[in-house]
Amino acid sequence: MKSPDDSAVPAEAAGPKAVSRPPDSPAAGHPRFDRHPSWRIILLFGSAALISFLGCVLMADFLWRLGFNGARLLLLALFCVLFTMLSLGFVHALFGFFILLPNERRGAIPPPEPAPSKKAIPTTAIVFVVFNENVARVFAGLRTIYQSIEREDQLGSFEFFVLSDTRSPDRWVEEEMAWVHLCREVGGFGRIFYRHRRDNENKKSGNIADFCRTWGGRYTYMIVCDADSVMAGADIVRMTRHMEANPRIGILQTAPRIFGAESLFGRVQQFSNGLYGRMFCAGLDFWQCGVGNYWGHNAVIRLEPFIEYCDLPDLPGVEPFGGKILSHDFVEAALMRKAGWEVWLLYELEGSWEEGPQSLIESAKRDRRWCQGNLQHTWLLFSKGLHPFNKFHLTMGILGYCASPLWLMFLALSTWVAIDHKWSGLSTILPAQGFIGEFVHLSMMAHGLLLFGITLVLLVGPKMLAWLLLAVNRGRARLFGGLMRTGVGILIEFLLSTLIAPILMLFHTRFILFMFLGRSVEWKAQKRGADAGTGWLEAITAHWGQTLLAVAWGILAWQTSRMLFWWLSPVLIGLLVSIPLSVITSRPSMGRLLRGKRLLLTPEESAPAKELQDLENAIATAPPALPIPTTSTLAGLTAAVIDPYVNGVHVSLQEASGAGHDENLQALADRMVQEGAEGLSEHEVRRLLSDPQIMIATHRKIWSSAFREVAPHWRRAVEAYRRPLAA
Amino acid sequence: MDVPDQAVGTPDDPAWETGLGGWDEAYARVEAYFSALRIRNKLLLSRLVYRVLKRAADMQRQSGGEPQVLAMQSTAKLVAEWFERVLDVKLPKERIAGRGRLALFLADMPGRWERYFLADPPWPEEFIERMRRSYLNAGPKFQARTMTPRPIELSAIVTGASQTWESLNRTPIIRAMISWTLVTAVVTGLVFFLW
Repeated sequence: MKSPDDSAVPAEAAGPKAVSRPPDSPAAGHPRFDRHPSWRIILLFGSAALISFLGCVLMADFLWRLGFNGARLLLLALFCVLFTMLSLGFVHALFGFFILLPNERRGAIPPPEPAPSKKAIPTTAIVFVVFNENVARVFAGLRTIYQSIEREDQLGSFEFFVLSDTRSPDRWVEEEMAWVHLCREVGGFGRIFYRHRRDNENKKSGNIADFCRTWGGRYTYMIVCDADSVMAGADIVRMTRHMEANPRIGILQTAPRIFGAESLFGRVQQFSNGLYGRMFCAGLDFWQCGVGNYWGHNAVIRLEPFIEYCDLPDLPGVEPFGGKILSHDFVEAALMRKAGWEVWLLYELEGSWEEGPQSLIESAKRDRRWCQGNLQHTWLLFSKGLHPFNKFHLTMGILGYCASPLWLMFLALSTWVAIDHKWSGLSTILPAQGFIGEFVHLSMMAHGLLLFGITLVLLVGPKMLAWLLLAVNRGRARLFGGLMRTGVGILIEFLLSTLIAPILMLFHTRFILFMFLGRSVEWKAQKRGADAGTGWLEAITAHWGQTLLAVAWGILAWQTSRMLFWWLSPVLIGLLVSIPLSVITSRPSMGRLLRGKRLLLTPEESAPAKELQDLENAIATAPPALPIPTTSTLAGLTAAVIDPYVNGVHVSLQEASGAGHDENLQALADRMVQEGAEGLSEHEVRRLLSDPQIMIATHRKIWSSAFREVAPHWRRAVEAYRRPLAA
Repeated sequence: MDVPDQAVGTPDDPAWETGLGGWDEAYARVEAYFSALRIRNKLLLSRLVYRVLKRAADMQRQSGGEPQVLAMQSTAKLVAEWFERVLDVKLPKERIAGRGRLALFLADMPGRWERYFLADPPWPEEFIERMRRSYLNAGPKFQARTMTPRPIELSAIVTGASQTWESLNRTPIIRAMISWTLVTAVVTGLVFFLW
């Protein structure tokens, strides 16, 4: 350990550096990064355009047979947009299938290996961006990555940071102690660092920008990890070597695999990510080449151009559509590319993982944030200088949410068309034969079924293709539970997705509507039931409107036309059962039940990598960071005030960060001592915690005072030390 | 070591003047504090507590005061003095206390060096070195960079729209009127179109 002077005194900020540009000459690295999009774009998007065109023409002809009017014209327009998106997805999967097939036949997809080099990897920062997370989990993940890199004998090139924006005072203190404990256990002092930001301006992107401004000049590369990220040391080393060998690359993004799911909902997401994800990524990488996207974590970034070009500007206007950019990753990729640096997706690497939401409601909450962030990108579609591929990525991100209200409009309009036809009293004789009727001689029913069938192929096709890939690689199939079980898993996933899709459709539509009204959606978390998972009250609160809509819509459809009713039934059923579906799919017991039968299995469950095993062990064996149970009221604050060691650590960290003393806080501190901290706001508690002199004085005061002079909370805390502590 | 029972009946005993009651709480408080410092050995614990209470009794004889308050003051003073000697630094009272406790914790004093806590020299070299080297390095040396956003260049039409949007934001009533007029127009047009 060094003297405090090294870190406490900031070096002079480096003056403006020469503007960084990628080298002009082609990269000398792996040929994988030497591909260019040109013909690939034409092939992939041409295929998608062809399928879209055929589908749209079929639909147009179908509506022509019914007779065109304003409503049907609008219906066709909506269908064309939605069908085009479906075609794009299908084509990505199809291309991905053909790209992966040769390697699957050989039994494995080898990760592209960088050219061997004796040069040391330049110093790289691995940053964990934390905001009110489960502290034990964060530090277990950090330990896992640390030890994984240590096994590669490359620890000398990496430094680790926990960049905390945690607002909860208790978690803040817990993080500090967890950091110290970890450093002591792995000998990480001087290599694992902790920084807590006093204010979380600009949220995650601001957190990273603050790191760049403070320590950015020290590192060549930065690997960004979320609180739930895990990465294998071997792949981290591989990625940084690729960056070294390919000096044009600005960002190298992995395709993280979901792991650790327990609930049925989580395991379905995990299964579909594991089974289909790689195929879609292969298709995506096929055409985007060096104009890929950045997903905010599990990626390595070249710091110099990132600092130079990727600080986020404010958007015109204010939130929700303007102001600070919320979804920063897509924009950072676009800005990097605008400056000439390449962004690649290295989907072949298997040592990259993240956790996913465990319930429908948690997923919707996450979508709420992402929806607003993505819709903000609309401004950037009109900005100058961004690469067209990046604008395409932004558009897809926007449409990913806007498709929901479009789909809802499509369904509503279809219902209207049926109602209008019924109540108009018009005959059922078709005004026109159309091309299909006249030349192919299909009846209307058959025509409709043809359209339905094609749509189903586009929806289900990728799943079948993924299953086929397993069929040629039996070793990998065993990791998913075998071919038969995978097939059953696909069916389960398909059924659940069908039921969940309309629920998400309504959630997304509501988010967008509220955004246009300038309102943010308040979502107060309810208490959970005895098992982890969504409680019934929370589910009813979230889904009652959807259930009512399903009942009303179902009655209307039934009264209008049986055919309309049955056509809408998959949507209506999903909405009708949204409440029990939300609850049941959130239960870990349901997930465990299927896992016991080896259904929805993934390689992360059947043959977990060493890192995932280490993570599980680390979480299970992690000693408590605080000497007070974290379930106790104000555990972190209490420990920081009462415990001599926690107080010493916390005060030392505040002093090192340059925190000063605020005389005005003394009255607040006295109130806390006499009346307890329960009446203080989080902000007030943070202010007290941020003042080292106050913390030392309060520690001394409470220990020295008679019990009658302090609040009962402090008395209990002091008396707890009369009982033996854990070491 | 003097056994507490034996010492009760002598002028050196903390309870000689005031009786046992007040010193009971003092004992418990000091013991709790040393327990908080993770001193586990019961014999060592009682010796340390007795040593503190003896000093507190002396203080009380000189200037009076509550036993418990004096005992904790005595504890703080004793510990701070010991920190100064071990760390070989002169710091203000508040800083030496925090600095010393941090050093104790990082040097794993409770685990390895418990017997040397508050003990007189000589101390093992390794113990001294670990105590004096114990600092928290929460971050490496700063190497700052300037990171500033480049403004987005929007097309002329969008720039005009954004300026209009921002001026509307400053007049929420007009913005609401325009918004509702647009919504009504769209809905009316839609109904007309569909009907």
